[in-house]
Amino acid sequence: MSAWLQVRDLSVDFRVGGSSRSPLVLRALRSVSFDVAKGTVFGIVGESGCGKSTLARVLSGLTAPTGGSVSLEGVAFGSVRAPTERRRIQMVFQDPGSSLNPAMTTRRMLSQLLNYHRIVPKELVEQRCRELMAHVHMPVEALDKKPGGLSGGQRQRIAIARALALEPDILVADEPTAALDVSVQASVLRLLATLIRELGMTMVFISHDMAVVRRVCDHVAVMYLGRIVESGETEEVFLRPQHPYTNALMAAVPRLHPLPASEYQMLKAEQPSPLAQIDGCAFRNRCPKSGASCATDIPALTGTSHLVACHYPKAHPPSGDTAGVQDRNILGG
Amino acid sequence: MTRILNIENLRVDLAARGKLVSPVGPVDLFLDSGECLGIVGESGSGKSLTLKAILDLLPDGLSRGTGTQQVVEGGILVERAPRDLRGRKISLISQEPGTALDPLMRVGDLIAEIVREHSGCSRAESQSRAVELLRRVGVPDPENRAKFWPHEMSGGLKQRVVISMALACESEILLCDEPTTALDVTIQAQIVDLLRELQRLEGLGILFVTHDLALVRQIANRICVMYAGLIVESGPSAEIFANPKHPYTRALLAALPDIEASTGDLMPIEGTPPGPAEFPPGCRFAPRCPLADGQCLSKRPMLEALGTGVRVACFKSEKGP
Repeated sequence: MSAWLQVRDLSVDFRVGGSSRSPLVLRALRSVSFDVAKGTVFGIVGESGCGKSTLARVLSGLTAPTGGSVSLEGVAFGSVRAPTERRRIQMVFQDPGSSLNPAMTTRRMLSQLLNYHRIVPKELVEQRCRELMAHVHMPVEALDKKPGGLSGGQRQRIAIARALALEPDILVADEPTAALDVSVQASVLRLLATLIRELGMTMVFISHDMAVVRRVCDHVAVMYLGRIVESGETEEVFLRPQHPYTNALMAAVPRLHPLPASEYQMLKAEQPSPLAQIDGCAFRNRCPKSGASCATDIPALTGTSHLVACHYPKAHPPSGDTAGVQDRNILGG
Repeated sequence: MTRILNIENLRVDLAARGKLVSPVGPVDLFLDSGECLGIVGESGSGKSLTLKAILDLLPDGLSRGTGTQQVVEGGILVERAPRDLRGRKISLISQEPGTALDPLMRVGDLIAEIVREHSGCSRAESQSRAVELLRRVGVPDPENRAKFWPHEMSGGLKQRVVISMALACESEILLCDEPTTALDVTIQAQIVDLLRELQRLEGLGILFVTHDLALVRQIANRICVMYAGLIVESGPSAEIFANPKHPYTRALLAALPDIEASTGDLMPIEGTPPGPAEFPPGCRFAPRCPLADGQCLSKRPMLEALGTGVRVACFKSEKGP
């Protein structure tokens, strides 16, 4: 695929304590690379502490990376972005209750943005505000309301309108529906799908909810402790997972048609602390099939369209035969 | 299976500007031994308040209006006050395990204290019982972990400690209020597995409150769907998921993304649920219901048995598509 957004070797370290001689460093992202094609949705899934929200903040320029680069159309952003650069990647946060200013009406918030970035001439600001409300399927009256007068789903629509106001090339959505009820989540997901189709938006969609990701995303990357462990087309990754972590994640998702007990694979133990020094594969302590090389070598993310970072990836039959998804060939060990 | 808990006419009251409103109820519930009853609903449906009202642990400003609960003692159901039940026959497991653990006590001491309170055994014996209980709930390396402070443990481990405290109380019924919402999906699977095992091996009865329909499908034998403070549909979980009768249950399922499906339109429910002060006089779902007519707006439907073990509160459920 042609890369529109290109992320290369992104690393983020946070100093979290220790002394000046031996600082305690949390490595939130470790050499993360991926490409996103124009007009597609790229999903990032993983559990808490995997670095997915840090990644969202780096993409939108809120956190400066320790190393690596983010480039759009082949041009890399500097570590401090100019307003014109910031405009191009906009973010929708998880909780609209805290990401919107409670003292501002929607109109004031939007017109401030439109004026500052000179998106439209002054006399057209009001008209543009109304258009934005139409884009997010909100009545014009919502322009006179403050966040307190809106429901959770409506607030998230306003947050999306705010991101759209800057006419960004890429929308980064960090768990945009995690704070919403399912009946409201459906309407926000619908809205995002419409925007992608009608405005040709490109989106990076971050979530811990695999069912939502499967609906929304064309491509997906699975993260574990700051690294991408598997990526590819969503259907390919979810139906034929090669990394044991992806496999376990899929098995752990509650479903309306529960899997038979025999296919229910439980992960033992828990994710190690992100502060821990781990040699080799970080997933090793929970992995059902870790071998000798897992303790010494960090597996690289390899492959052509379906990439996996595992010394013993699971082989799947080449065809669309799903019977092979649950085969139990333990390689190596 | 024997009936171990029977709750009737439970109502939660809220005095607001001199006017009495009831965010929950009246609600009837029962639980058999070794059974898991799931209570599902969206935020504001009153599912958590129902659970807290059983033990009279309601937040300030809310009070138990009416309600009786019977528990089984020596084979017969007897009525007991909430204060005689909590920490004894019934234990509560909350969403945030951190708030249930005393941050100034090592987890082993926390459990040992409960053991002594309930059995009157010696200090040394209670300590070894605490380690046993930690092992029982799957805490790895329990001898060492008993010496941990709560803040040194992950969310999943803390939730296991809370469950072991309930076992130390020799409770027969666990009230679980979204016990896995704060946990990751792989850890959620571990906790759900533990609860199921306790249910099967120890015959524990579980009341499991959640907003997650797929999760309740996974764990509950029977479910109650709540909307605006009332139960709108209840029955065997397999039956309700295969054949939902109430328009609200159907709408919820149509809005839910399932991991098995990559396509198909998700249907949002138009409008918002009413707050306790503006509950409509008739069916509380009627203003958002596609099937509602004049009768629904003026008269409240009562739960009626359908024969399949399902009870539904809807005038239209038989005629619906």
